Amino acid sequence: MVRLREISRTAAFAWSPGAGKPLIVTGTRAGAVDADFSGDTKLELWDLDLDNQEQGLELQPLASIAADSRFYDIAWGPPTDDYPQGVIAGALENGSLDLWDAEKLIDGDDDALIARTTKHTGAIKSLQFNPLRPQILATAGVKGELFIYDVNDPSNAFRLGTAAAHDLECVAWNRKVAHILATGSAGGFVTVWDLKTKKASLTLNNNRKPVSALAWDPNNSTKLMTSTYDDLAPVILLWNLRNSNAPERTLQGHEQGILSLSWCQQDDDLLLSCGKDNRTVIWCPHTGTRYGEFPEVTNWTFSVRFHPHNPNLSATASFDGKITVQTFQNTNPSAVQNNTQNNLDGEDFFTQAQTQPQGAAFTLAKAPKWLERPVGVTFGFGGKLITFKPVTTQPGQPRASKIEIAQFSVDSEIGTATEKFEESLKAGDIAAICESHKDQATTDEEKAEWQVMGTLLSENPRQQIVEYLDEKSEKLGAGKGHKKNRLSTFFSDNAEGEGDDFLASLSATKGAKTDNPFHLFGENDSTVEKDITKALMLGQFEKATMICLEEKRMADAFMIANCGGKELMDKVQAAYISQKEGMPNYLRLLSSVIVKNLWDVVYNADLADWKETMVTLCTFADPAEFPDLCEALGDRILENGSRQDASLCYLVGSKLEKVVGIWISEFEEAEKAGMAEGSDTTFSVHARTLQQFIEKVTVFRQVAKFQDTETALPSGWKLSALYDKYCEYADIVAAHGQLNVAQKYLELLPTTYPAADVARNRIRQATQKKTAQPAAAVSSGRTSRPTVPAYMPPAPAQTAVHNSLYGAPGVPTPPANPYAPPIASNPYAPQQAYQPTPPAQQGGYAPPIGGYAPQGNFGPPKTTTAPPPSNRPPPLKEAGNWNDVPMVARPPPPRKPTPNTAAVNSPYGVQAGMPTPPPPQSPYTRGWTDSTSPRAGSTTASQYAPPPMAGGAAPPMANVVGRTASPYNPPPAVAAGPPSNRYAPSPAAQASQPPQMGPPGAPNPYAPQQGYEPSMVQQGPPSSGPPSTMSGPPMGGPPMGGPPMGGPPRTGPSAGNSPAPGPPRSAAASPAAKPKHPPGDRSHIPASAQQLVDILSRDMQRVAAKAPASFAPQVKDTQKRINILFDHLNNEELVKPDTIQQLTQLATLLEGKNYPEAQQLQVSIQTDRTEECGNWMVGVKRLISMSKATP
Amino acid sequence: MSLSLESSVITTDTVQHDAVLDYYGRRLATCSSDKTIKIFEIEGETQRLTETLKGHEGAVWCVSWAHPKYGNILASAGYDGKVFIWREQQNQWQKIFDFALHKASVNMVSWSPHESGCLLACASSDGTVSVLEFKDNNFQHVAFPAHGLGVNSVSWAPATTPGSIVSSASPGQGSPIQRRFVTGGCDNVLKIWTWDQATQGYKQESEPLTGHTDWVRDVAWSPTVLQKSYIASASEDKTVRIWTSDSNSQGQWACKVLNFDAVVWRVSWSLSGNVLAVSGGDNKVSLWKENLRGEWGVREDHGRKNQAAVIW
Repeated sequence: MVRLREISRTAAFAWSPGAGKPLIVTGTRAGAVDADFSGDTKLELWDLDLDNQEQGLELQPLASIAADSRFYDIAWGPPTDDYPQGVIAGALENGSLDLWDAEKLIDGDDDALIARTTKHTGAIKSLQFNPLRPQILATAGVKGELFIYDVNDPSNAFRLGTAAAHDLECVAWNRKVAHILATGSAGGFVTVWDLKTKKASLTLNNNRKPVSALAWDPNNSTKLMTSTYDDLAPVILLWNLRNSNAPERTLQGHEQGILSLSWCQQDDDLLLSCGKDNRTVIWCPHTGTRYGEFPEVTNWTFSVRFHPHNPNLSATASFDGKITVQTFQNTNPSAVQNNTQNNLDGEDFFTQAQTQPQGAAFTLAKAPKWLERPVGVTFGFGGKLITFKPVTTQPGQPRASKIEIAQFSVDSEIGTATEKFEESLKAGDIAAICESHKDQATTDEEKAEWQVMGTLLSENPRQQIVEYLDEKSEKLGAGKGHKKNRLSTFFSDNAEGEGDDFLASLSATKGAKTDNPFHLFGENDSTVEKDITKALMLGQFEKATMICLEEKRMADAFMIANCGGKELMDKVQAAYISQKEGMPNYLRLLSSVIVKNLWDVVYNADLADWKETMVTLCTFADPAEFPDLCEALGDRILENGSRQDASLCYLVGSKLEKVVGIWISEFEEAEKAGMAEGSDTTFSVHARTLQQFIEKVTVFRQVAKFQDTETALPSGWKLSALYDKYCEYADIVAAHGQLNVAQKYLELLPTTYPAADVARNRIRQATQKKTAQPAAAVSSGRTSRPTVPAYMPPAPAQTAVHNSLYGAPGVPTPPANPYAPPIASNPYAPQQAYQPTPPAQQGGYAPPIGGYAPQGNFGPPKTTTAPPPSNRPPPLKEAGNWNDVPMVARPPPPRKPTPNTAAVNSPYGVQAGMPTPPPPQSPYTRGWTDSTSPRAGSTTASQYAPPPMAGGAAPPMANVVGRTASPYNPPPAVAAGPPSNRYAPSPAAQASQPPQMGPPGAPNPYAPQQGYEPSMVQQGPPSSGPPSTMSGPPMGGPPMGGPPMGGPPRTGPSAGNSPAPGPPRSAAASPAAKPKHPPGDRSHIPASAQQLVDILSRDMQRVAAKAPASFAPQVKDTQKRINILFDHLNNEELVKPDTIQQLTQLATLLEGKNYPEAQQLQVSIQTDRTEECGNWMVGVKRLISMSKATP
Repeated sequence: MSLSLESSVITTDTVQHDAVLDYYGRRLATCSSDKTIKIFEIEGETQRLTETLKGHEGAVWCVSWAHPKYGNILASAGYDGKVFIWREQQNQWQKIFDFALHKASVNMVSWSPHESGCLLACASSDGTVSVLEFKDNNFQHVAFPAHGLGVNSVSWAPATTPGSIVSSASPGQGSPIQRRFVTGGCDNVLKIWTWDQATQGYKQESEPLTGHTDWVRDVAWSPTVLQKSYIASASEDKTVRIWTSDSNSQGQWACKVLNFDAVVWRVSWSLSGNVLAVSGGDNKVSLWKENLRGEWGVREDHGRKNQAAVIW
């Protein structure tokens, strides 16, 4: 127990009824002498004030009024309409019953007294309010007087029974039957009265011992307890009225007479008793078990009472001048002591110690019923609802509970919608999905989007788009020619009327010439014409053309150039187009078309004619550039506020990240609209809208064959808004029990996406069949896979691969214990994995070849640490492309900083035939490439540039993401740039490096690199904790890295070698480390190797061009490998001069189609110079056999 | 909205006081008057008792699973005034912390949203609330008086305030992770507490939420981060009150009352925070949803035996 409060009074007391804050009313006890021997008689009110930390142990009265006489008993009735705080009734020594209004007493009013009735001829010993009829009060007193009152009219009381010799000591109402009460007399009889008959219905012989207290069973109307103050047999008897002859049970334990009983209303297993032995004992009345007792006090305890509403509290009044308020528990006695001690402050210790109760602190071991929660309900992950409740058992049987787990679906709509959608997806009938959505769409915007998506599905999407736009725009005529006309006019209004089709007139000119016979040197010929004729006759087309051009005889120039070959033709075209003044607008369009540069159209055409612009794009744009053009157009449209049109552009251009942005705003609007309708719950609206959004995105991804290239990035995702929605959707779907679906969407998130891991793991755990077994992952893969149809993007596979490469850092849970916390609390801790990066080089070059580096550097974990990539399905797909077994064992290729995916992919993805090193993520799919190809104005140029150039151009473009500042840069910027410039790091690349590598918050992430030895690190087992979040190609690419061409590249080859970047890594740079040229760079090929490079690339190109499509992967792989060799050569590393010589010889043999000898030589090089032969040698070997097979 | 037939039933020969599924829905922890905690492995419709944890010296009232990112951790609290933290490692359960500060029954324990750290709030009949924090491999605690007559329940607010959903892409920015919870006590009120960095303690936020006329048995703060904050409270007064507050209400809580036929013991929000389950002393479970007019409707009654989907 904990002693909470003390009231320094020797007084009868009563608790305030009800659930309000606990108050105690006291009335000076009759028959006691105050410590100060004063004769004052007071009625006082006390507030326990348990929330007040300042309040000490001893209370001060809240209110205090004088009473006429001392109290034997006091009672506080429940609130009634008239008395909202209830009525306080005092049983006074002088025989009067005083009634007070508790509310007025609390408020401190003087006129709290309601009534004073004097029915009794002598002292009233006991009184009690009827628990079921709160206005009824019974009083019992001397000479057997027993009165029943209505507190609203106390004067009108009636008496029960007749005068008797003995005093009635106690009275108690039955707890269950309102008209039954019992009295106990000093003569040893307990009488049960029935108010209906107004007669005694039963008398119990209390062993002829005076009855001191009575208590009815709170639940059983036929049971009651009695006690006696007789010191010789201080017992408590439990009676069952059905057998009034003998008590059912006798509770023995008190050493002297018992003065008071209190039976807990909330738990009938608890009874309090106190008496002349100064003790307060807690019993189980049914069994007679003594639970314990409160510390003994120094004088009789004459009254004990549970708080009627909060049985955690009870109070005991004793003749030592105290009423103690206490609890039943003290589970931490030491703490209480302090509390008590504090309250003694300032008092004399010895006086206090004397009155301190003796005995050990007591704590009630049995948990009281009011604390027992019998029922409950909770929700669980995956739409589960857990309920528990008691099971009805036979009396005497142990109590039992039943726990049920039910599957629960919050919103059947969501469930069915999800299911339906997933089924259609599985069926692969995207077209149908689009169609049905189109029909259901509520807004035009929505409808249009679905239609466009449907269109994209067709075999010839661009054609379809053109047609769609056609349909949409009545302005556009049906005929092609007409359309051209219209197109030609949209640049300006005044263009109307200059309608002659340029191409048409070209042919017309041609036609005219053939129709008209002519003389070589006509009489009217001018000197110029003669010169032209002469030149023509001599076959000097160029000269003739030049003359024509000078004379502005464009048509002639074209004709002549036509004979002079493509080059000349281009020249004339350029010349023609360049003289812009006075030209019709259509020529500008034409010029764009001719030079394959539609950026002009996209950026400068009037937006009112955006549809025509779109049609133009559809017609002419290079497939590689098309998406970016569409995006650029969309950007422009969006800026001007037409979301729907912009969205169409993005859709057509397969620009998911842009579309998503628009859709998210649509989503929010739709949600708002749904809310406004107001028929459903907030959540349902939200969920439904989200479902629609997800469906749209999903279909679009499928339609556009979108591949998320950023899933491996550690941060800065373009699609993070979408990822958020995926997470949310997965949550909702999971809550509906559709864990597989939820998992599918979570798989689309980047590996390091916050919360993705946890969520993924949660679902995996939830779905797996067995815990704590590595096989679990497989099983989950099995269960989830089927639900992920064909379009299961390489995203997961990709991450899976990269997991295995880097040691599965993304797996937070070791398979041994799926419930265990992730081991690596600090994902950035394992710095070692990054040490292979030579700092100086990193500063200098952004290396596309990095695609290999991770394999070499981090490959070993694949076999050594072998962390199971249990997090997601096995990387089947990637394995096909990357079964480069030898790589694992071999010394790693050049130490390159981890690659920038964007840098790697963009330049090469489109041109499958180019012998450039493909990136690790195998961008062999169109969609993937499209989405990442840089949108610089110069893409055309770079993509069609000869391979080495493209490679060289790559780094500066590496960080282009998002709309570039100056997209209409002329192509030559890249193609013609001085070689040395290309190796200068783009400022953006430099700037972006630190955030890529540095874990946020880590003061010096590069510190471990100090003095490291690159080669050692490379070969050392990377077992030391694989990195988790950093594992992906860690760039994320600065989203808005400077424009690739915009900023002037650094000049001078030294730029690359003097690492300007500030990070400590420059200091840590090993001086021995030779600067490295970026992969793909071919400008440093030593003269000795030039021939070799030339021949091999030529042959490679030849092979690539002719190889059957089914061999594309092998061809690409070979290209990749050959490029590794070239990179080695370019850096003058690994391959020694004499090997170069041998290789050159081999190349010559190859060129001479002397395959047997070439093969022989290859074998001998591989045998003799194993240490120099890296992955590239396999490439050479394959090239020979491919070349042999290629006619 | 549907509720399938009970998919799994466990009958125990002792009285259960709590039953909660873990984060993955794979394990069920129950606690009982027999002083034990039981852990069941749930597989489909079957379940297997895998562990019985003993250590409490009285009835165990409450069990609570920590977020798995902190490990496989279960907290339990009981009549003995103790709070135990249990951890499973290598399939072995171990009591890793024994918190015996409270002087009386600890009626409820609740883990904070994982974003705000590894925090456990404990509500005790001794009138205090303690918050344990596991940090640096050590448990530290803050305790403060909350409801002088006894604290029955505690529930944490979601880590971010509704309406301020921050993109996961920029954690740490936007609205800070809050440490905030609500308690309900024998004084019939709810109190909201917020971590105060300055005093390194929890401070009561505004006035107590009053309205219940009897003990507040349970409180549940909805995990939803849409628009409004919701707190549900279950009371002996046979009502459930739903308190709402949004960014416009400036700390004021509006209140709706749901009436029941019996005392209400428990309220629990669904994981998305949109459905409220209420379980009462009449052994009935009902599910409630709010429509857009802000009215709460019963959606399901799970009271009668074998009752499946009842849709109103």
